[in-house]
Amino acid sequence: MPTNASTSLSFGKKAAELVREIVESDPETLPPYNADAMRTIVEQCGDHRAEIVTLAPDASEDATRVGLLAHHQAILRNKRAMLVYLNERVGRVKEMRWSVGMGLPESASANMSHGERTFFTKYAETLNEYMRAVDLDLTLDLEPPQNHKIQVRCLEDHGEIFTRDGTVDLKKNTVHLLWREEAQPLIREGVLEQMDDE
Amino acid sequence: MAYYSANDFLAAEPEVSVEFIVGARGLASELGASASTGRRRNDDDSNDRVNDVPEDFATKIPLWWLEGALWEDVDLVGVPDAFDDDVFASLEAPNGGRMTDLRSRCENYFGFGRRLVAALRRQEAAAENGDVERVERLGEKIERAFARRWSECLCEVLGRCDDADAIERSLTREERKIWNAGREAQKAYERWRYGRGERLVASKIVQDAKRRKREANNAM
Repeated sequence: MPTNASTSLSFGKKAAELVREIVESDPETLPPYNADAMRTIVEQCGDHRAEIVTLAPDASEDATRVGLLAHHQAILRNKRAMLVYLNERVGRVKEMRWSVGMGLPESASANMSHGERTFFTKYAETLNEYMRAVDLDLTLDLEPPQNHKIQVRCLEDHGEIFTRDGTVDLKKNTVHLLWREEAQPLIREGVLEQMDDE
Repeated sequence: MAYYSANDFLAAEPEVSVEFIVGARGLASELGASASTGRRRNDDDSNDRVNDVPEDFATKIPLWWLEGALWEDVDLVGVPDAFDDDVFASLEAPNGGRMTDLRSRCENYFGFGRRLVAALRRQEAAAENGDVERVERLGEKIERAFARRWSECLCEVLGRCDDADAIERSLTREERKIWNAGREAQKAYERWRYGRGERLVASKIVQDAKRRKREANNAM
């Protein structure tokens, strides 16, 4: 008995919406994981499969073959859309490790799926292990620096930190001259702000 | 890596006009074909034929439908309006590359154009009296259009440009990528040339989180 599921299938439309959603979002942020859309697309793949099973016995007929190919192509399209979506998000999660560091804000973490949070942790661990092995912090100085020391302003009370020049008390709105590699992680976390050169 | 490219994915989304050579079973409701025109194999059939697309049914489908083996049973008819001769004529006119709004015609104009030409070429090569030359001429027009846009629009990003906002609004998706890359390259050059160095800033995610925290604290 043939199903009439085609009316709910809307070949590839949900898939295209999902990809547009991630493409049109700000590339420097991670929008919330759209689990509903992913679930719907997986269900649609199941419906396409059911249609293929229904049509398969008459596959020798030309018109049936065309129907089969259309449903098959729709499954491949849906699969590609989900992979594109996941790949784009994974790229942004990786980028967060480099731009934000280990201390991911809760708002960013809340937008990730469970799998993405696990990926972030494992990616960060792998990167840290490699940096320990080569004894180099690769996340510092992503562009060639001009000065070894930079002037920074403290944006919030952060307590005392130990630097190679001694202890520095980071109180809100105080100005300090710090070594670049010591200031960078705190700038990334939003604790310090680099001041413009005079 | 094009498989995972979102722009490449979306480039196959625009619709093309086609004819189903042998019809298609079970797709009438998706394609908007009238159930009453659905061809019945014979009158003894059950109602499983009312959802059939008849032979030579003309409709529009997204280009990605033709990426698999389906292209052998479906004929592309004409080219979409975005690739009409008047669009190419407007691009060839003086200052045409700058003035023509390609984004409103097709968000992924050049990506879609490339795939369209490939699909047409395949169809004409397989046909008995296929007109491959016509397809190659279309391909050349699209290439010239891109060259025009490159020289009149995209190169502007490297210099002073008074109407940068207007140009940016008319850029297709792939042109915007090039435009943004040019802008980043120009900024990097100015940083190197004038020796100011990169100012370290927290990422947008961190700034947003801090701002939300401050607003929450102020609200309390």
